[in-house]
Amino acid sequence: MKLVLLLFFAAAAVYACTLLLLVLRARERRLLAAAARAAYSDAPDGIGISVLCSGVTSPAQLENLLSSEYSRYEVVAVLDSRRQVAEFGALAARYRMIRVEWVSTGELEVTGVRALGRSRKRCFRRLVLVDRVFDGAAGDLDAAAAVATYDYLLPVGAGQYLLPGAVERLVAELGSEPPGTLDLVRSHLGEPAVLLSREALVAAGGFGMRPLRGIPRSRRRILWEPLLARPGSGWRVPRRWLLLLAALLAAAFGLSAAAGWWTAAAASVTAALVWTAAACASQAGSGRLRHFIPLRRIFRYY
Amino acid sequence: MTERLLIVYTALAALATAVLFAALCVAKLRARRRSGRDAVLRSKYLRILMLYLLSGEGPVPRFPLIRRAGARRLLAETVAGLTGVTCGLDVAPLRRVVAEYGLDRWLLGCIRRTSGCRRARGLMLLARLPLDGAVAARAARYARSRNRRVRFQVLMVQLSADPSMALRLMAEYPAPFSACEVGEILILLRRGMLPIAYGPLVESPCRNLRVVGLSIVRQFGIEEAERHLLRIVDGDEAPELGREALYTLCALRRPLTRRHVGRRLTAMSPAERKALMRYMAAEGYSPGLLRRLFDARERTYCESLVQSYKRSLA
Amino acid sequence: MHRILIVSEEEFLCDVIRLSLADMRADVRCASGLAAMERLSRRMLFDLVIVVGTSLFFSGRDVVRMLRPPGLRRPLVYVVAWQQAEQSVLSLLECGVDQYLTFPVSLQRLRAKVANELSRQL
Repeated sequence: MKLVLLLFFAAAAVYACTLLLLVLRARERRLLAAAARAAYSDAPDGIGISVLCSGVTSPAQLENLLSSEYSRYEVVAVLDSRRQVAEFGALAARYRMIRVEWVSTGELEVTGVRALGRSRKRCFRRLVLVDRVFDGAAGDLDAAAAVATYDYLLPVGAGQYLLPGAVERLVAELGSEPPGTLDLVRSHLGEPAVLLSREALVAAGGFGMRPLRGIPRSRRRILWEPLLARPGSGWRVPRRWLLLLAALLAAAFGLSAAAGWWTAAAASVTAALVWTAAACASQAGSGRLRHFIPLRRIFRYY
Repeated sequence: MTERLLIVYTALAALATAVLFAALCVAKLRARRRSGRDAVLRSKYLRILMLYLLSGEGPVPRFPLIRRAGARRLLAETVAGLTGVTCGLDVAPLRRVVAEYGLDRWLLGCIRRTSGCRRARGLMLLARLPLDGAVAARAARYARSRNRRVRFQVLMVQLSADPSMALRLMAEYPAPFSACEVGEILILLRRGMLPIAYGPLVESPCRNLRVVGLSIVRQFGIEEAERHLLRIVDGDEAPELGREALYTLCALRRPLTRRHVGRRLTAMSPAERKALMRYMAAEGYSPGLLRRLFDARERTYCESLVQSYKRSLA
Repeated sequence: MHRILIVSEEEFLCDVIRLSLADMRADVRCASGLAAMERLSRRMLFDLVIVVGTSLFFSGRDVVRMLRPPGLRRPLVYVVAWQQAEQSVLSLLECGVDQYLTFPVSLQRLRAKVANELSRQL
C-alpha cells in the first residue's frame, strides 16, 4: 500500500514539474514571437484565421474577437434570428450588415441556414453573420466553417475572450513551419483553444465527427500558454485563507515528519509541491494577466 | 525499504518545493520592480536618449542608476525598442551610447550564459543595436546552434551589422526561411537597413532570396514585377515558390489567364486550388475569370463563393 | 497652444511619439485606452489625435465620432500601426482617419506632418 502511495505521489510531483517546465519554455517562445512582430505587419505566407462563433451574442465579446490587428482574419458569428431576436437585430444594426447570397459550397453538410450577412462598412467586413436554425453547437460551427474564407479555423464559445496577441501567436506558430504542415494547434491552459485546418475538418466531415481524432501526431502542436480566457469567472480566495492553508500544510508536514509518519509527510509535501508549481505556472503562463486566468483552470484539464 | 524511499522522496520533494517557492518569490519581486522602478527608469532613459538624438552631438549622456541590477538591460532594451519601431534615425549617437556603456559586449556575455529561446531573444536584442563587425563575428559562434531560432537570429545580427553583405548572407543561410523569418527580414528592410531592389532577388536561383523577393513585391505592391511572377508561376520552380508567386499576383490583383497559370493550377492539390479560389473570391476577382481558370467540376464551388459576396436582392 | 492626444496601450510607443513632438509648443497628453481617450476628449477639444494600433477601429466603436463633436472636422486623427495590408488602410480611411503611417515610422516625417497640419490650422 505504501509503495503504491509513494508511486502516486512521485507521479503527481513529476507531472507538476514537467508541466511547469513546458509552461516556462512556452513563455520564452511567446516572448520571442511577440518581440519579433513578424506577424504584426503582414500575413506571413498568407496565413489566415477564421474565428467561428456559436452562441456568441455579447457585444463586448464580439468587440474583443474583432479587435485583433492581424490582417487575414475574420469572425463568423452564427445566431438564430428567431430565438435571439433582439441580439440579432442589435448586431445587424451596429455593424450595418446586409444580406448576401448564400449557396452551399457542398464541402460540409450544412442545414438550416436562413441567411448570410456581411457588413456594408469596410472596416467591419471581417465580421460575417450567419442566421441559422439552432440545432446544436456542432451544426453552427459547420455552417460557420462553410462560409469561412481562411484555411485555419478557431472555434470560440460564448464567454471565451481572446487574450492580447493570441492570434499573432497562433500565426507565428503556423508560420514557423513549412506551409500546410500543421493541421492542429491547441492549448489546454486557460480556456481550451483548438485551431484546426480547414482541410482536416472537411476530411473528417464536420465538427460533429470528432475531427481532432484523425489528425496525425506529426501535424499537431501544443502551445503551453493560454490563448482564450473567461474574464471574471475565477473565484479569488482571500490572501489570509491561502496563508492559513499554507501554514496548515507546513504544520502537517512538520508534525508528521517529527512523528515519523512518512506517508503523511510525503502527502503534505506533494500537495505543497503541486500547489507551488501551479502558482509558478500561473505566474509564467499568463504574465501580467495572471488575475485574468483563474488558477483553478491551470490544472483543470489534466 | 519502502519507508526509506518515502523519506528520500519527502526530502527531495521538500527541497523542490522550497526552490520553487523561492523562484516564485523572486519572480513576484521582479514583476513588482518591473512595474515600479523599471517603468520609471525606462521612461527616463528614453527621454535622455531622445534628447541626445535631437541634439545630435556632444558627450554621451549619463544614465541614472546604470550600475543597479537590471539597469543595463533596460538601457539595451530601450535602445533596441527605439530602433525597432523607427526608421531613418541617426545611428551615430546611439552607437556612441552602445560603445560607452559596453551594451553589445555585455549582451554577448548574457547570451553566452543562456540557451534556447532566451538566447534567441538576446540575439534579437543585439541585432537591433547599432553594431560593428567584431560583435557580429563573436555572435557567429552560435550559427551552428541546434536551435533554429538561435541560428536565424545570428543571421539577423550579421545582416544588421553589415547590410552590404545581405544577399550573400541570405543565400548562404543553410535552411529554407520560414514565413515568419521572411517577415522579420522585411521589417529590417522597412527600417531602411537593406536594399529594396527586388529584381536580383526574384531572379536569383537561390530559394531563400526568391522568397524574400516575392515578399517584397507583395508588401510594397510592385506591379512592375508581374513579368517575373508569371515566369515563376509558369516555370518548373519548387511548388511552394510557384504557389507564392501566384498568391502574390492575386494580392496585386493582376489579370490571370489560363495560358500562364494553367500548369501551376494543375500541379496544385484540390484543397490548394479551393484555398486559391477562396482567396481570389475575397480579393474580388470576377466569376467569369474564375470560370475560365478552373475546371467544370470546381465551377460550382467557385460560383457559390463569389455569390456569397453579392448582395441578395430577394 | 495646440493640443495633441496620443492613444496607445503600449507606454513605450506613446513615450516615443510624445518625445518626438517635445519641442513643438503643444500640450501633448497620453491616453492608455479607449476609456481614457473618451474621458480626455470629453474634457477638452484636441487639434490632433494620434492613435497607435488599429484595434480600436476594428472592434466596432466609432472612434472618430467619439473624438469629433458634431459638425466639426477637428480633431484630425492620425493612426500609426504595423499593418501593411491595403484593405486595413482603406478601412481606416473609410472610418474617417486622416493620415496613416506604418511602423517602423520615421520620427522626422511624423513631426513634419504634425507641424504642417497644425500650422495650417492656425
